[in-house]
Amino acid sequence: MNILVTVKNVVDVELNIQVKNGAIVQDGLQYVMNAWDENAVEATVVLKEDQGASTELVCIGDGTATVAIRKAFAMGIEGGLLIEDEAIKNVDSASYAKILQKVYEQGDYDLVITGKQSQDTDSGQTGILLAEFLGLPCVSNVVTIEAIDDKNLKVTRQADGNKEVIALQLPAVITVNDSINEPRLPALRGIMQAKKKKIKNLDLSDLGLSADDMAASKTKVLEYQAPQSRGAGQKFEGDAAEITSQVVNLLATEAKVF
Amino acid sequence: MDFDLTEEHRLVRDSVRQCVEAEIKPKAIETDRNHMIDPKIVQTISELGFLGSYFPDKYSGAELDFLSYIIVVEEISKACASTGVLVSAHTSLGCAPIYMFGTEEQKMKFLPPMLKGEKIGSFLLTEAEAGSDVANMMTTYREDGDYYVLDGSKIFITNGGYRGTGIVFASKDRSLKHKGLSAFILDLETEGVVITGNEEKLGIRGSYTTAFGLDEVRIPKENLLGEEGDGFKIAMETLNGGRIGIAGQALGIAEGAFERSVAYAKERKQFGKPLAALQAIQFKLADMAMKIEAAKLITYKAAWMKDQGQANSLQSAMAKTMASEAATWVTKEAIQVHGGYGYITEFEVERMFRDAKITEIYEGTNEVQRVVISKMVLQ
Amino acid sequence: MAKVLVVADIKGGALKGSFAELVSTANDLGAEVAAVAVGAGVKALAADLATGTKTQYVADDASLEKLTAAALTAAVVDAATQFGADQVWFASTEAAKAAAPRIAAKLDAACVTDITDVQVDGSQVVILRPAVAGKVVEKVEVKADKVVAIVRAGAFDAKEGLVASENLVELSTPEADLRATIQEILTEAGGAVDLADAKIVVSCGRGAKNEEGVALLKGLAEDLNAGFGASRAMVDSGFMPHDSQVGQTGKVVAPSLYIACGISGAIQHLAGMNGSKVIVAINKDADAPIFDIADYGIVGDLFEIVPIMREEIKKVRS
Repeated sequence: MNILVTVKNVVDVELNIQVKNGAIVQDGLQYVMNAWDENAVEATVVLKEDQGASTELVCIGDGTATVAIRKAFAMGIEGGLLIEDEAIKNVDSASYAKILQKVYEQGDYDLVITGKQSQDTDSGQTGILLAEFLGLPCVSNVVTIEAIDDKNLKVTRQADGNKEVIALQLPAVITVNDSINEPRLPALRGIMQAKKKKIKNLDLSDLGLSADDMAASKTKVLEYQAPQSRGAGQKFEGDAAEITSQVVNLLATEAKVF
Repeated sequence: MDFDLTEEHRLVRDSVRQCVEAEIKPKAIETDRNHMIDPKIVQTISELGFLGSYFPDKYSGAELDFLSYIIVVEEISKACASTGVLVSAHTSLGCAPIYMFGTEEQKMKFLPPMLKGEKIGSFLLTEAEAGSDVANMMTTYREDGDYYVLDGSKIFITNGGYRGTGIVFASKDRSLKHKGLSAFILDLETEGVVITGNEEKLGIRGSYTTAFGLDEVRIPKENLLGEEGDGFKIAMETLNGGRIGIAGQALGIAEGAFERSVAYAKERKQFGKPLAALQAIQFKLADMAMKIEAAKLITYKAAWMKDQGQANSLQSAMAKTMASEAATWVTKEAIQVHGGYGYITEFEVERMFRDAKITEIYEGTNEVQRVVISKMVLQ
Repeated sequence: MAKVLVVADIKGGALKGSFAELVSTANDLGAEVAAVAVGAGVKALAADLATGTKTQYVADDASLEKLTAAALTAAVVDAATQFGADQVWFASTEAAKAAAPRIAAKLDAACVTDITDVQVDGSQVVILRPAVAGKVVEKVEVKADKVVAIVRAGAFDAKEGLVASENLVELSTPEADLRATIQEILTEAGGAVDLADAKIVVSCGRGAKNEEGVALLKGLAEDLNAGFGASRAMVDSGFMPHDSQVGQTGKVVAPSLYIACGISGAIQHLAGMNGSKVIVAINKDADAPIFDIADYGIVGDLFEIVPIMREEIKKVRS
């Protein structure tokens, strides 16, 4: 089984993020591997360990993304592609999916695993669009993967109020939920081995794409705004009975929710 | 010139940080209180390779560089100095002498279990009457067929309680002073090796520090490290290398106390505004930051020089001294920033204050470091 | 006039409240509105679907009981094509998230998820949506003629007085994609009240500690007829079902009242509930980040506070 896993280097959402003049203030931002991609990498490495799957990652980003790629290598991914091109700026999920489609078509893969969304855009479309463009079946929001044989998986997806157990024929695309696993920390030996693994650099022309393909984005972010801050309200400390009674009364009289 | 960490170093740092946040930090108070590091922590750091950072792959090491090792010790010590010292004593004092002075057979035999964390390393040098004055050692050895037989006692043995693999020093003939010393690789489960006491300490209380009695301890001759009479040189060179590890530990303690102080100063309100708005506190934080930055630069530089194969005794001694003194100063001021809460265990800076002091003492007191430094600058 | 097709969110044979919200807003924008419902037995909802819509497309077949994303896609594309829709709107559900991008690809439309507002100015459509775990709001221009959108919970309000005009169009049943088939549906023991619809949500975090804590909070939720949510920690430790997770990765809720119990307020959790109208937080740690966004913060142990709160609520309600 040959697996292609996607890795995106994204802004660390734990840190303070500010918006100024319609743009995100870049100063002080830090970048990390998209959290859901860590789950995708872990799921891929588990399939490598259990099924002997071969593993490769693809990352669309710039030179700063190599640290995310090395991390995935250190976790156990065997090789990787970095797609870097000036034209890939402010493009939509469909453009990303188009690039991944070309990567898939140039290789020999049975399964693509992606995180269910990327923590910077929170769009949750790329993996699904990739499957659609490739004409492959897709299961999104996957919480368990079980390999039946080389050509079949049994996966469970988190649906609305229930879970669906799905028989999935390969080749296919799956996007994973973060409850699927607990991504391993790279061990020091893995970090050493990661140094020796190769990153292959490609640009759009290597994939038979051009800047025009990117310009065909169907959505464009015009600007960023700061969310309405709701600010802290009142905080009550002291005698439990007293403050609880106070709050419940305020909920009834001031907030009028009861 | 480049002051940025490499990708590899950042990965090491992030991996250690995550492990520390998840497993080591939440138990730091308990580790101090119980005088014991949870075996689960030892297992986790072994699995992640933190006990084999810079040694070659063929000995089951992670084959990273010395700076990676320092980053491991620093990051762990930010949260728990006791676990930091477990790693640094194991690596610098247990594994390093075998790696530096051992034969290929000895390395292949002893290093893999140590680097995998199955055997924790320790260094049996200090005695009641032989601290900085190593040559005044009372432990002696004699030959008996294929064995050396040791008699004597050792104190202040960091990691001794794990009964792993120790580097033990003994004198063949006390009249030869330091020329009579030899070093041996000793399995601490060998018959005649007796734990005579667990040290009660001011700080690093989670570190398992013991005293040993050595009663007719038979060590196979192939466990002699280097040649007979090499003991003094092995001890000095090991301690020289270990200094950067202590610097990393001290640096971590200082950073841990500083991070807590900054967070507390922002959160804690007095007179209607956060402490951080008071200049008295701002200046304390500024001084802490400066001392830490200076200590960090010299510590990383010493590690970098070692990685480049450059002579680094001077920088190692400076790093150890500057970082340890930064640690004791910063932790003391951290308590002051926290006020009364700083004196309370739950706020952790009082522990850091206690943990910091030892870094001015062990692996060569700061007075010894100043002797080393002044000698070199006066050359 | 823009043509908006609203996809009905159906659960347990009933139309969810989100449908009326979407239909109301589409009418406010002056659009011609149609509805599409896909599933087994959905034809029975024809009258409900007609409120505020001119046409109701239904794909109703027993085989749609186990509804795959591929089947939902096919039916909605069919309806959108027949209707000539410029926009397809979904309420935010897992089914919607799985189908919307596929529908967009098939219709050659743009796809925008998690939207909080839509502005139509002539042919230009501009959409607002949160991103980066809710730390920014994106203003997105739609550059295509058509758009498929998923609307975030609480973004739109339902209005009274919509005109119903029943005009049922039956869609052919989509063919099953045998490459991905649902073998089994595992139901989860969720709360009695659906989180997405709940006017009040009680949510439990790590501070609830154990089954006893969960039971205590469930009692509060029942008293208030509230949805019962959870933070990631409680889901990961197995105390609460996955479906109850509120946050960036789970459900986004925006009730009138959100009571966060023993939840510290990780950014990923806040992203799922900071649209709530009133937030109450109960936490032992006075410095917990949840207090930064709570309208009413109670510093205390939930095991002590919640039983008192239940009594107090009974008092003010009676």
